[in-house]
Amino acid sequence: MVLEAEGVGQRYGARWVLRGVSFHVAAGETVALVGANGAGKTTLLSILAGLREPTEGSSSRVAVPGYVPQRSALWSRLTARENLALLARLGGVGDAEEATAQLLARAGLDEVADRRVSDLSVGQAQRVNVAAGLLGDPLLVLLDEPTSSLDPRQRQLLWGLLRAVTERGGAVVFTTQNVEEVAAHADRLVALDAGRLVFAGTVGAFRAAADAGDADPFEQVFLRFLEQAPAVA
Amino acid sequence: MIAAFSLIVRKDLRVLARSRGLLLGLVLYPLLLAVLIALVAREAGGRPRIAYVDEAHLPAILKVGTSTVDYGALLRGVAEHVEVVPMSVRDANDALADGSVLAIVRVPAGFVDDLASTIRSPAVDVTVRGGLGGQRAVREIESLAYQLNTGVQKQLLAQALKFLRLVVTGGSIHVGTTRLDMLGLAPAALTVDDLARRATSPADRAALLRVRDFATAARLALAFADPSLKVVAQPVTIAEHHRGTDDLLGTRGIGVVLAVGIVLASVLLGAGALAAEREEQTLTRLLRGRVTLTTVVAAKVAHVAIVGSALGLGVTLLYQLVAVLTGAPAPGIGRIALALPVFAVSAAASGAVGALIATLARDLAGSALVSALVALPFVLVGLAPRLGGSVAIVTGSFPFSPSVDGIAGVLYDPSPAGPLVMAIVHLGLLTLAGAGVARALSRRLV
Repeated sequence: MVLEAEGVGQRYGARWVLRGVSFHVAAGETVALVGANGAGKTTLLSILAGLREPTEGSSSRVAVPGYVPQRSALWSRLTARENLALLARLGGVGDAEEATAQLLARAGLDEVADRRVSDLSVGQAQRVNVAAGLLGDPLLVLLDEPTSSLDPRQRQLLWGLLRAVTERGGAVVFTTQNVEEVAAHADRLVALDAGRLVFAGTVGAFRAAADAGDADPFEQVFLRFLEQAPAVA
Repeated sequence: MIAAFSLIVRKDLRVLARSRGLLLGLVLYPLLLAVLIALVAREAGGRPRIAYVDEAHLPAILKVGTSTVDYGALLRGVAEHVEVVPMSVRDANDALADGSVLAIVRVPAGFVDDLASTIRSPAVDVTVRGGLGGQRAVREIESLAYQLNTGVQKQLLAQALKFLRLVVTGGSIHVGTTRLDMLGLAPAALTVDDLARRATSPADRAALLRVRDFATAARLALAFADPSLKVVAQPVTIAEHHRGTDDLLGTRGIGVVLAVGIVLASVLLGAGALAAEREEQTLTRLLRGRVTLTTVVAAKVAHVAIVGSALGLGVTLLYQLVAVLTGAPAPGIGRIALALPVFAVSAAASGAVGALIATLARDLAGSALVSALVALPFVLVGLAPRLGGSVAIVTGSFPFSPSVDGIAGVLYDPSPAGPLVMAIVHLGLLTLAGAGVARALSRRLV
């Protein structure tokens, strides 16, 4: 297993935002974390990334994962190249300059590489943000709503980058509000509702659980599933 | 860890170099402070305004007995220290009430007659406002009265000595319109001696010789009285010596300017540098690699120490240049080099306070606001003259006061080693304490 969560729970004061979440991610898999706003997706992702210790339960991963936060986590006064080079050096990537140049090329950022992040468009900055999470070719990449500010062309480029991770034996876990992306790119999905895991399985199994056919739009399937969620859970 | 530390410090310096507005503010802020403090110092050292009500219509030359006192010259001398503004009684009272003058000096009618009588001491009526300005005005007026008294005293003494010499040597003197002719003790002794030599009766001769001896002894006694009177008139004299010119800001003034600039800028910079990592979410990203929170906090403190040192060095070199050009005492390049570690440790301690504030306030705007709110009271209390007891403990727990003492001491103290060591130890301990607590609380930022 590349990633394993066992009975993960998180409490803020008296309020539990996650409770008893268990699932695993195998090598070569792309897993989507879905749920309504406030379901606990970002909190779970930060626990899986090792950024936060859960109140109860545990999570384990093969190595330090690449992590892409929802908001661009970059130094706005540094250029795209300087941001990536600095993170590569801090992350102990062998040839930081070369790794940075390669990543910029793969992410289609060559033309804007020497522009300050503050001067980039939101989509360009998000691509730099994703590229930073891919530095050092991690075996596990965790992304929090990575496509929310990208246009269709940029989304296509992003999924190409993430596919390369699974093709070399790694795994990808991402959260999204765009459920069509789940159907298109995820092998499996983990659904949360009010901090509790209500589904973990393949997209086909999810359709079946929601009594939907293969032709039904996935958004409708998802909404139907959420209406039935307590019964399913 | 060292490599990560160095990378973060270099990154912070690069980010700062690209923040032109912030950089300009950091450079201009202490310079603006220097100008303001210099203006305040000049104003504080300026001449207090005193209302002068001359009901006696004093002439420029006062007659005391048979002598004169140049009162006009005395008044001009006093005007070097105070601004004497002639006014009516009513205007003077209004001016004192609204604070445009600090004191009223009223010379009452009859002053000249009392002074000329040499019997009654004339009085000058002085009314002052409360507070330091009024106290200063009183000192200046006392100085005027002292000079006036000394001038009159000299004239009266000269007159008395002239009488004494007349008694000894004989001659004539005018008292008012009356001319007095006096034989004098010395001529009297000669005359009596001549008469004694010519006396035929031994008894007459012996009597005349006793009169001659008395005249001789009296003349000798009066000759001793001459210098004694001068000493009694002025038992202690002050020998004034003036060397060099005044400092531009005063030794503590330059210490205050540099410390305010370094401390405030460093607290804000330390808070801003750490809070910005959270604001841009880069702290989370930093901690994904081999970087620890200890490294991040240490790098922020080091970054601020470098910037604060450069700031202190730049301002001091500028001060040195201005001082050399204006002929004022300059600290010298050697002393400026010696002050560099004090700038660094002052900035580091302040940066650590800033980092601590960032861990408590968390966001960038809140950190900046809290930094200003925390730093200003300490700076204001630290501006007061050295205070003891609990106030000293409070001011000593913030980097401002030790920075002022350290910088002023290293730049101007005859023996700079003591202030240098004290500043490094004191501010070094504050750095460790501030950075330690900031590190302990830094988990709040993640």
